[in-house]
Amino acid sequence: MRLWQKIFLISLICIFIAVEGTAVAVSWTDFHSTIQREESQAVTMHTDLVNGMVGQILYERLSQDKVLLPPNEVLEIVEKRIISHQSSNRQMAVFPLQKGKSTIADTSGRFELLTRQTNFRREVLRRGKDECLTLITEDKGNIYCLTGSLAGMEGQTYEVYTTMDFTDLYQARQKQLHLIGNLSLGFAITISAILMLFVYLLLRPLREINHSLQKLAGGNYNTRLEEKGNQEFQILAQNVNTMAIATEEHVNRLRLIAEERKQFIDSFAHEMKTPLTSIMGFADILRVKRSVSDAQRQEYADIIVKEANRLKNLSGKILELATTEGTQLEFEITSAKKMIDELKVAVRPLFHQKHIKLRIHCEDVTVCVDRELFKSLLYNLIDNAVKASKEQGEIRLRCIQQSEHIVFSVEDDGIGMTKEQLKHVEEPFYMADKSRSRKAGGAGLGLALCAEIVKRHQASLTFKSSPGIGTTVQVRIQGGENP
Amino acid sequence: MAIQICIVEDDESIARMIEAALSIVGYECEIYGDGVQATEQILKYNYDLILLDIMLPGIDGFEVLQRIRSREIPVIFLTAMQAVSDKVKGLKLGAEDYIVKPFEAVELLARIEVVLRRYHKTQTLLTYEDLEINLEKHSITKGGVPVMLTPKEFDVIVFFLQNMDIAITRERLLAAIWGYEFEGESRTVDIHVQQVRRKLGLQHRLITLPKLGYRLEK
Repeated sequence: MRLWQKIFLISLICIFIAVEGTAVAVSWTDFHSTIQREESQAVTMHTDLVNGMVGQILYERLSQDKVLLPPNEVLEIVEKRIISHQSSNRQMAVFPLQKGKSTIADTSGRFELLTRQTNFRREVLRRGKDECLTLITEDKGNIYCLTGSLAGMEGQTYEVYTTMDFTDLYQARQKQLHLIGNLSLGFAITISAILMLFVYLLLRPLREINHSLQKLAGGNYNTRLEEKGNQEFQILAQNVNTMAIATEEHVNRLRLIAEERKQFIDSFAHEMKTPLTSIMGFADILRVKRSVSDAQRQEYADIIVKEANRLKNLSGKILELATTEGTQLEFEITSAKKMIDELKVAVRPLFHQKHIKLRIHCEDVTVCVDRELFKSLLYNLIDNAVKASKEQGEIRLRCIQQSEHIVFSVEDDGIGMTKEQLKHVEEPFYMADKSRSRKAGGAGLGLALCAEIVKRHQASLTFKSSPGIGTTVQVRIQGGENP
Repeated sequence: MAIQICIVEDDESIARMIEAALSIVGYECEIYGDGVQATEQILKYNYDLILLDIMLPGIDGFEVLQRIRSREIPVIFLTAMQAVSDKVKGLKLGAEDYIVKPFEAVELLARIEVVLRRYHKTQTLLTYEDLEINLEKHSITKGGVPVMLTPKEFDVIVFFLQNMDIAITRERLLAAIWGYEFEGESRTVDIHVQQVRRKLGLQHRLITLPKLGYRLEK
């Protein structure tokens, strides 16, 4: 259930109960006092009637100058009196106490109800002569106030009852209750509707926020909320906006990473398929061609071996890159000199073919690095320098302290690179000169690997290069203690 | 005159492999490793077909295709890229076909054959010993006497003649003649080859290569 629906229903019920309850309580008190008043009036009239009756009997006896009037005469007089006093809403009955005697003055037949009110009659008899009792009772759809007392006339005791018709009173009350019900319902509905309208209007900014959140959830991360309305909504909108901005940033970063990954996979597939195409093609030719000359077979096999080697290099480098990204680095404080001495042995085979000289200048400094990875970094940089160098060229490896930093640099006098090429050198599979690089067995992953190692060491990698003059690569790392 | 094919491919080994494959069926090839140079040469000479790599130094294969469109030479793209969007782009620019690396030599030959046939650059009259086959009339005579072959049998002998001296696997034959690759159906191939052999008297020339397939010898 929506909030405004809840508010409507709850306020409707509460207001209705409150209004109706109050009105009913007030009207009940009012009605109760009315009934009491009517009852006492009925008692007064009853007493008047009884006294008048007794008086007339007395007068008749005196005028006839008798000691006692016989009961049948008494009843005759009483009957006359009753008939003269009865009206549409008041009747009277007088009974002699002894049973078996006939009932008088039951002109309307309404006194049938007396025969059913045995309890009331018993109570009247018990109370004695001077008291009046009343009872409100229902008969044939009408409501009566029954008043009863005892009266002594001519040595005899009689039961005297009068009824007053209260039906109108009760009907009026019924009408009043009905009216109260209708009024309070209408009142409750009106107030609830007004309340609902208010809530609806007050919550309008919430709906806008909801709408925007839905858009956000649907992937429109550039959605922003207008910060307006009540203070509460302004704060909410601000928070939602903050969230949206953070989400957008994250999503963009993820997208970028995914894009890089895709680029990497595409390039990787391309680099893998190229040698594979030659291998598959030549193998297929060897398989399906009927006669292959010795020279041809030699050439085809040579190419297959060369291309297979390329695949081997590629898979090796990929593995190296993957392990560099995945493994935990083991930092240790190392002497740069010692590390470069070890490296010297490893890089020696690279220089044979082109008769290249390596000149080393190393200051006595210590660095905190993962030894194996850092050696791999320098190895790759030297390998690149060798590939770029001409026959009998020279490569200079330096390690110097510059204030807080240790700077390793590898310098060659080789072919160099243009500014445009420099921009891409760290991208995986980028090769400044594809055919040369491939001839040299490159997979285009060396510098990507270097960049990764440098990143893991929180160091920086910079290139200086101009075509035809040479390239200098610098690795700048925090000296001594743990970075 | 032999068919002239231009190969534009920057990887030497692949270019060499394509050349070797094409030379089996007697096509003549020129190799260019660079888009700009290839464009110049294509505009200058009259090639029958161009095999065009997409990733090229200088300008890429799509650009080359746009520059040489006026020559109306059929082009088949060779590429390592497998994305459908690349295929669509290549075909929209007017390429005839699109071969994804790596590929088998025989597949390349079959694709080239199809494109050349579409451009009516193949011979319509094939001869082999005393057999004469007219591709346009769909007729075959042996020593001047017409031989009745079913359409599929006709396709089989034509495929062998077009791939003379090359070992043809059953799968390749299925793909080329029946248009699907289905291992369970290689019996169908055997039956058709046997029928062709019997009807044309090629028992000693159309030989079975164990575990490989068939070969029609020169």
